[in-house]
Amino acid sequence: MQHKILWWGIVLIGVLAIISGFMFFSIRPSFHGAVINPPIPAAEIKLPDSNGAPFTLSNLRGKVVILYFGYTNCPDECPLTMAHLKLAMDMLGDKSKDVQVVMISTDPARDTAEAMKDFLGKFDPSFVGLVGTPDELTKVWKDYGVTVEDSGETHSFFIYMIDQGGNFRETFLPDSLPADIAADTRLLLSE
Amino acid sequence: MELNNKAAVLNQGVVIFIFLAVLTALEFFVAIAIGAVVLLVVMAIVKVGLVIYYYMHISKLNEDSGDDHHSLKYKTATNRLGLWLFLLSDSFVFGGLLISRFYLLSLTRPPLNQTLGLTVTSVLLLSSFFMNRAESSMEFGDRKGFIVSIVITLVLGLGFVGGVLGVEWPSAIAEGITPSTNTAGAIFFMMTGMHALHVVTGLIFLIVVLRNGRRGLYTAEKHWAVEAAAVYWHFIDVVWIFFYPALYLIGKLI
Repeated sequence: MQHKILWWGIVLIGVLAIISGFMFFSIRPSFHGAVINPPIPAAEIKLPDSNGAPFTLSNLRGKVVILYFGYTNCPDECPLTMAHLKLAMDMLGDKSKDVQVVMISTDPARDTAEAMKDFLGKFDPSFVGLVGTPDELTKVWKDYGVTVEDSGETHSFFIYMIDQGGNFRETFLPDSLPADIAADTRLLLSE
Repeated sequence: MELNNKAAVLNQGVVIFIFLAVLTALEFFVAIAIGAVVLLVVMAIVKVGLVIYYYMHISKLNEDSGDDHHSLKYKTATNRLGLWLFLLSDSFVFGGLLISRFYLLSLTRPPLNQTLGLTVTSVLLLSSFFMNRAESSMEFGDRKGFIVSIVITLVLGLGFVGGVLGVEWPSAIAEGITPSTNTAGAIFFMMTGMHALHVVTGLIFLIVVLRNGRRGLYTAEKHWAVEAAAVYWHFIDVVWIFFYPALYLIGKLI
């Protein structure tokens, strides 16, 4: 009787241990945002940036690009999102040099290059803002499925992540954890 | 399943405990490194099965109690059935709490100290080992062995209560998790509180049984109170085998 229990017990625990081992060694990191599968090429963006220079999205191949659409007079959502992105960049440490955060204006009437630079500078001087004429910006909003109403005060608030190959990979909601955004950025950088 | 010598019975107790300990360690590893809820559930069920069959001797319910309704055998069988029915009813309370935890918190869990959780769980599991040892000793009339083991069970049980009420609760409150802050706090305190209440009553039961044991009230042939105390104590352990992963191991930290 004794040996039977011993034998069965060892077999059972052995099976559980083997299953656990298999599972442990096949863990793959996964994305936290809403993944776009298969990835679609991110639409080109050509707009003047907050430094007064022309910006071209495709020039940023080799970097992960994090896009956000907002306006500088925003009292809540946009500063909060920028703060979260700043936290995410801090978490990435050295790796953040391969990441570019870009904020595209939804309020061409009031957002000038200086206003953008000033606003973004409060979070991180490396963040780039994009401005432009209502027509130029409307094209970009359309390309990225952004709805803009009430002179820019009501707008879609997703965070868009574009990989090093210029493909649109996932979106995040603004209340996503900075740690999750950082983790996914790391994943994309390691590809 | 009758083993007919003391050494074999005690050895079986050790073997079962080793299985429980290994499963607990594996459970901890799976939770921390993998997070596979299915495996955790399976392991909990296996542990519970081991305790219910080998420590609580549920198969004794099947024993023939004879036709003499005034015999000790018959009365013990009736007592045994009554106790198990009581445990069944008590299970509804704990079962309800367990289900509430998953209904309210889903696959998230409160931030708790893992070392503390593993420690108190190990202490309780060890106490079940000694409780089984005490009962087995008494089965063979070994009063001395019985008393030593019961005392150790008592000390470990006190250790568990001290760990939960004296360390875990204050540190949870210090972290801002109180019964009234949020749902997680409410369900955490309700589960651990209800369980701790049962451990305390179990301790009282053990003190009574120890006292009576020292007075020589129990023999190998007649020791229902010892069996009852043991079954009640193992029941508390079974509840914790479910509550520990539910509170500490399953789910993502919010």
